[in-house]
Amino acid sequence: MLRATICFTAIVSIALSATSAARGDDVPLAGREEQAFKRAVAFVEPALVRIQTVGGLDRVGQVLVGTGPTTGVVVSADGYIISSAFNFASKPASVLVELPDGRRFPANEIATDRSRMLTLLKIDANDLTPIVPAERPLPQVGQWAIAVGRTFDAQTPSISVGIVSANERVWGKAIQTDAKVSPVNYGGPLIDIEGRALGILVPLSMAQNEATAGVEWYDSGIGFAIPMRDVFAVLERLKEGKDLRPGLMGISFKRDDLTEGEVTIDLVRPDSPAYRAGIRSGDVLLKIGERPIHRVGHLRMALGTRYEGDTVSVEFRHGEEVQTREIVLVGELIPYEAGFLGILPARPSRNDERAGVEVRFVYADSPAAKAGLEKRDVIVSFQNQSVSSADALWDLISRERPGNTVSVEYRRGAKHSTASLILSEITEELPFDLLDSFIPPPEDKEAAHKDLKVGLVNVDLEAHKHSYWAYVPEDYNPDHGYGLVVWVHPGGDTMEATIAQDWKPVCQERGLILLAPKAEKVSGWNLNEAEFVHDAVEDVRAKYNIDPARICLHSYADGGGFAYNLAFKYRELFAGVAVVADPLRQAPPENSPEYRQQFLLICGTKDKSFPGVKATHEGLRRFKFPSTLIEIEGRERRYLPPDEVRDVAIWIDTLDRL
Amino acid sequence: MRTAWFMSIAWGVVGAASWPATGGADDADVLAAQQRRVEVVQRVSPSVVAIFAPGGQGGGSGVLISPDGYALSNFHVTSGTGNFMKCGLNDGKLYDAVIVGIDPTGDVAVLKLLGRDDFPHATIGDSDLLKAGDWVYAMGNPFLLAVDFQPTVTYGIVSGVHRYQYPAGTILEYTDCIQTDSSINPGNSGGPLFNDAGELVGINGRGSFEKRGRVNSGAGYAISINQIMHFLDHLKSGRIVDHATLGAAVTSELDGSVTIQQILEESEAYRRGLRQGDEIVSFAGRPIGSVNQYKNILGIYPKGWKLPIEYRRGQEKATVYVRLRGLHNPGEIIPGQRRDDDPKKPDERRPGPRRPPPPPPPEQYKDLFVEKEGYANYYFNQVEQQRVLKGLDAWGDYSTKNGVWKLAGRDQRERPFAVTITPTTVSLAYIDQNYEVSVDATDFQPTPEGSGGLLTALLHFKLFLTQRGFLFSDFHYLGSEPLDGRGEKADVLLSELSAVQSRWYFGRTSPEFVGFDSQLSKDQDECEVRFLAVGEFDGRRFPSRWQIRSGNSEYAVWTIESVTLAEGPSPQRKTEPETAPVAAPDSKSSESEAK
Amino acid sequence: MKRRTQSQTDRMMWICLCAMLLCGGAARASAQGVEEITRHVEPRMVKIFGAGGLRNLHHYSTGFFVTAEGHIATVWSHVLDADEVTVVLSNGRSHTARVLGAEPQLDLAVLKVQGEDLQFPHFDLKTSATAMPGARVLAYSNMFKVAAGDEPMSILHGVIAAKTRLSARRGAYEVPYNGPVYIVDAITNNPGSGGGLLMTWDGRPLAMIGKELRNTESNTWINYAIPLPELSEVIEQIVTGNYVSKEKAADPADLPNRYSPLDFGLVMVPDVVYRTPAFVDRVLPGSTAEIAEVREGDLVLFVNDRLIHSCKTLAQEIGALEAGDELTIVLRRENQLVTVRFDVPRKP
Repeated sequence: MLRATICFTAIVSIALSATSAARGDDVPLAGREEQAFKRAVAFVEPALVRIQTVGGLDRVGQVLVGTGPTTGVVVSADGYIISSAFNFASKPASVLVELPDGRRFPANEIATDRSRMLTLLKIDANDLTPIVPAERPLPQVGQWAIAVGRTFDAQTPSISVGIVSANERVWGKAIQTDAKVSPVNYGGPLIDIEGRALGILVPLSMAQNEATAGVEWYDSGIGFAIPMRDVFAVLERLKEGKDLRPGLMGISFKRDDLTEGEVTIDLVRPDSPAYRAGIRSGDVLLKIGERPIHRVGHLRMALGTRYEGDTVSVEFRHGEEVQTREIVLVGELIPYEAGFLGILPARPSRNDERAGVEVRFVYADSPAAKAGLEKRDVIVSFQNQSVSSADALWDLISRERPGNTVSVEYRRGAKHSTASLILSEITEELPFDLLDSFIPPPEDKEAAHKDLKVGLVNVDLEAHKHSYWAYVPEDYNPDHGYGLVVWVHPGGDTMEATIAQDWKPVCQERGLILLAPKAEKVSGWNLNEAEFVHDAVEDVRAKYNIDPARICLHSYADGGGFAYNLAFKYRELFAGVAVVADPLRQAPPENSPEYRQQFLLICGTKDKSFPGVKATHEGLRRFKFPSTLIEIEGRERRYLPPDEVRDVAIWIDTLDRL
Repeated sequence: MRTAWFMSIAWGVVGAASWPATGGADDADVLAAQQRRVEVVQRVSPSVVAIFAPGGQGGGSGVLISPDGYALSNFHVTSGTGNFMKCGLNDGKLYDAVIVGIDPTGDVAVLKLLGRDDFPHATIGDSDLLKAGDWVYAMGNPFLLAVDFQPTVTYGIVSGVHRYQYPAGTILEYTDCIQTDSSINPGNSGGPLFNDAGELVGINGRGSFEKRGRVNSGAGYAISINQIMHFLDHLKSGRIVDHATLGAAVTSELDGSVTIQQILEESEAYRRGLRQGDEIVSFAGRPIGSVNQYKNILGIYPKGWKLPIEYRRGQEKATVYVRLRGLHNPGEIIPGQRRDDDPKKPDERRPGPRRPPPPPPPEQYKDLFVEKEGYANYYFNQVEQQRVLKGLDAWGDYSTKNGVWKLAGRDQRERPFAVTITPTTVSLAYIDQNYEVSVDATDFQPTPEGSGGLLTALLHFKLFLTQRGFLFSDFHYLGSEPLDGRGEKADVLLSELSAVQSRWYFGRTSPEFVGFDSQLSKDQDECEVRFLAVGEFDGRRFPSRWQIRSGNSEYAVWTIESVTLAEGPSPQRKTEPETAPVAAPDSKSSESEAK
Repeated sequence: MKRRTQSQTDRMMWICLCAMLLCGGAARASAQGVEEITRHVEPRMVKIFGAGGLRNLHHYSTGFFVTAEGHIATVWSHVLDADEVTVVLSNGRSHTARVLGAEPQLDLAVLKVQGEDLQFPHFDLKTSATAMPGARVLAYSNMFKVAAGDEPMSILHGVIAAKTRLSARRGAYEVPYNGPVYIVDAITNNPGSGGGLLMTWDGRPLAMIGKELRNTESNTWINYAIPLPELSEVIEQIVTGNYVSKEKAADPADLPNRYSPLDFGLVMVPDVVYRTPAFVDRVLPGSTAEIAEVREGDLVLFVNDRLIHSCKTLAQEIGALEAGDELTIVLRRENQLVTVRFDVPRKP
């Protein structure tokens, strides 16, 4: 009997604990939190759909996009589904939505929000379970945040558990979480411990706006979700079927300095909303709407959440007076294009301090030529502002557009003259009559080359599992700035021998240093290696005297894709891109005076990529990038013949043209 | 219990599917735990600092530790920002900050935020209480995402404690550090690691990033707060601090024990009796089971601290106190340009133009930085010197007492002694012997024998009491250390004249002068003087009972019965560059020292 | 009150026992749970040092004891490409070990510590657990070789993100194993962590951490572990010495190619790009397809419930058909899904 009672109580306790589950105080917190995770996911599960795509690109820019399923979230019973724009970056031919109950529907891409990187889908169903948003518009930092996806299998969602790391990230657009966010759950919801949606998971980047930007941070413990409040806010606009683009004003700043005390406008894009509102270079921004602007960061946060077509009131100081204007933001600015004088500036060596900019070369029938400027003239002022260096002159010219009439004061011998001329577009022609820019060897080689390597050098970069080789002319003279050619080899072949052989003489003639980073896998570059190339360049810059105006990427065949990617990732670093036989597969960023980038495309007319390369050239011109196309008549898919290498060198030698 | 646990999982799963009413956490405890976490985050976030290099191109993180604005960060962060930097707090405001002290070996920097005396600050925790599996928060500014200065919070567990991470780059070394899986990314560097209670337990500085370029890969490392606290007074005094070595190399035996492989004969460890082959049982109170653990101990204490070492020779066990030697020559740790060749170091650079030259310091703060060789910011050392020297004011004004001093009394065995200190000589009559030492010809044989150089010590004692720092070729605030390796922490002033180095100890609770060590030359045992009592002699306070020691043994305990201090003209200061590596301070600073 | 019979009491007793047995010898997850689990796990794990050490090839990994005699289970990797490897125990002692056997299909290797009558604490694989997505886990390994000598393994926390087949995951992997795996939401798969252990938060061994695998299509790293139940049998066989290696799984390269869309009267659009959508270009008059009312411009989405990404996958699926199968094709026509069925004819 006694025995019986003991067992009985035992059973009861089991029964109790079984039913009372989480509430049972005998269950450790860790276990009960685990149950809470699972139930939260079960709660959101009915609103979670699986997305299949058919056809489409295999890569977007350098990002290879998987064929696998992705995730979407039901936002209304009548068939609207929101997802991450990343999931459709491959521009699939057909999109298919699979509901939790197994039903499948063809889906239409209604529209994409290119600021918050969301895509709205519509399927022909009206009995869907929409997602339940959390009550508070923004979560509390530190609360549970669970990232949910539906990619692994149709039945059970995939789960990653983290916390809310911050709010209003990426210019005020996103909740930040340390749950693991990746292609596995992009488009899925970030939910709280009660299963209510905090936001929609997307990759985001502070710098770029492509659908794939930010994917390099996947699983890093830094993930982003667009708050549900904002998702629902744009829903109606998206339903109209028109893509939403980030709103632009058309102003830029000297440095993107988050700590800058006062927000002084450096450049105003002609014909931009800001320009039409009367905002000019040198004005100081004070307020956007009700938000006071003390730093560029404030401005970016105030504008980061606005769209094309939004109206913002801008308070700014022009001279002494404070003005307020209503500005309608646009989605696209008329591309920026710099004016062109048609000269090459002389390159003073480190130790000569001359005022003004000496003319090294004048382009035939350029504005400068027409105005009678000659080699060795010294430009002392531009638009009545005296210029000390080529950089200073460029800074002034970059504010003028082709067609503008400008005044140039120059000195010939003792005689000063002023010419008025009309700036043209930057020419596509190469000045084949440009003489070698030979650099004299240093007087004291010993001293000059002290703890410096010249000739062929091999370097292992500590910070990376990579190495690079470089060629530094034996007569390297640290007093003179050298151009830097960064060789981006094609997949499967570093072409070390060819490149070294073809470029050595050219480097001598044109004052160039050749840098050749090696991909971790010879088979090809992958995106993560961009930073390595960047560091390799910085490493060379630290050791040798490199002219920042003439740092140039050079590639052949599929090295081109990576070269373009580097150019657009480090726009302030690479002044030139010389690509042989490879078209650009992504839209270029917009041309801007902050970064000066020029392009040289070379391709054989018999090369299969020729049409693509031609299109790339035209595209770049459309974006108003200086671009030159060299067609090699009847040539198959091969690297350059030596004389073409010389042409590339000439082009690099003109990267600092004005 | 087990039963319940097992069943409840099953229930959780089944129950989930049929649970439409609410999302799940109807579990009050789960929600309460979440709320606690939210509150911890809200409480500590205000102390987290976003550090920006001038121009905003790059930076890192930090954490405030005092209301007057002292903050901790990584050396590899501040080395990229210049002497003045901008710091953002989560109140959205931007503050000026100045570099205070750096530890290039330990990758620690102390800076001071300016403009407030009521800064929010973190509570210091005890990192030795951390265990693998404990929950921790990492906070900071990864990838400089905090445009509005709201820190990024990541939450994870301690993956391991007392980790040793080999030197990366030149001298950077992470000893006894905390490994965590809360996401640490580039930009987190210098930011705080908080325990579950929101106490500061570490400074995040490294991650194992080799796998994915510069993105977290599950292993981040934090410098333990306990290590930093050992160095804090050194760092707050504007110094470039050095780490320690014992002068002995150790190796681990097959049985797991650690023995001395080699030992420098001029090292104090050798003088205290350690020899090759001795087994190190414990060091600073921690059992030593691997070479890493030995390195860990050395890594967390400053040069110059005295630590107990327990060693075994055969069956014999013994414990000795050894003063640690410097790890580097002064030159080695004075930072050059920052190293980017460090694979483990998070790198705060954003792709961007090369850093513009640092702008001039903010006008109203430019006096808070004083450049001097061997210091990160000599200004703060002056401040500390003056703070500590206040402890002498209580003794009365000695500045005019430059004439002949006569001290007389008896030792512990009633034997009389008499000391005469003239401006040129020190003489002692004691135990039927007369000793004399002249100022100019400082002897290198400790006189009297066994005292470690008592006479020279007395001479310096007089110089210090009358002219404080003024007459020494080098004089600075060193930091704090536990007196004799076991006592309370004491502030230390360090003076040098000729080859003689003296350490002047001041109590911290009440800033009083408690004793001093004088060392005739490097690698000799000092003459250690401790004041057991302080008395009243013609209107001045003066130590009345002296304990005099050297090496392992006590030389004597003196009771002073009479003191006469004659007036005299203040002597001229002569600088001796050759004996003073970091000496010859510009007149401005020496005046402020001597005031 | 009804008096209970002996049999009833016994039955209750039996129920209790079952209930107790159900959850094995597990440590408990609680405040000090991790510490407890670690105490249990540490002495049962080893740091392995072997071949490698070159720039990209680490020379270290992790393993765990599966017998008292010193059999160690770990991941099959280049680290084991040596006659002997060194294993370091949690107490700092090191032994040499030899590879006893390996199962490449499972990415599994079993080592044996050299030396006689040694006794080691070990895991009883019979107590291993299984887990659902959302289950909390602890990952023990010597990733990045952080621990040396007697220093404990690195511990990561996380949850089971999903249970799936590697091959079923988006993209392709550089791995022979395509059985079920746990995907973890912690970065468990790092240099040296292969052969580490996934433990449940109530202290039961769950899975063996796998290699570092990169999804070759999306270029993302994946963190997976192989459930112990998948391994225990083979481990048993290798330990007891009656193990025979399985023959290789069929190479996807030589898939059967019995049928083509044309056999059903389907002329697809020319397969020009990497992922040409499977649009029907023409339907041959009188063909099965025409009878089934397939139309020009239809897009083939599923063949027997397999998603058709492109003309290539369509060719594969159709090629694998057998005479007599029933063929179900789901087509997209405008915004409708149309399903057609027909039998696979015997080839003439």
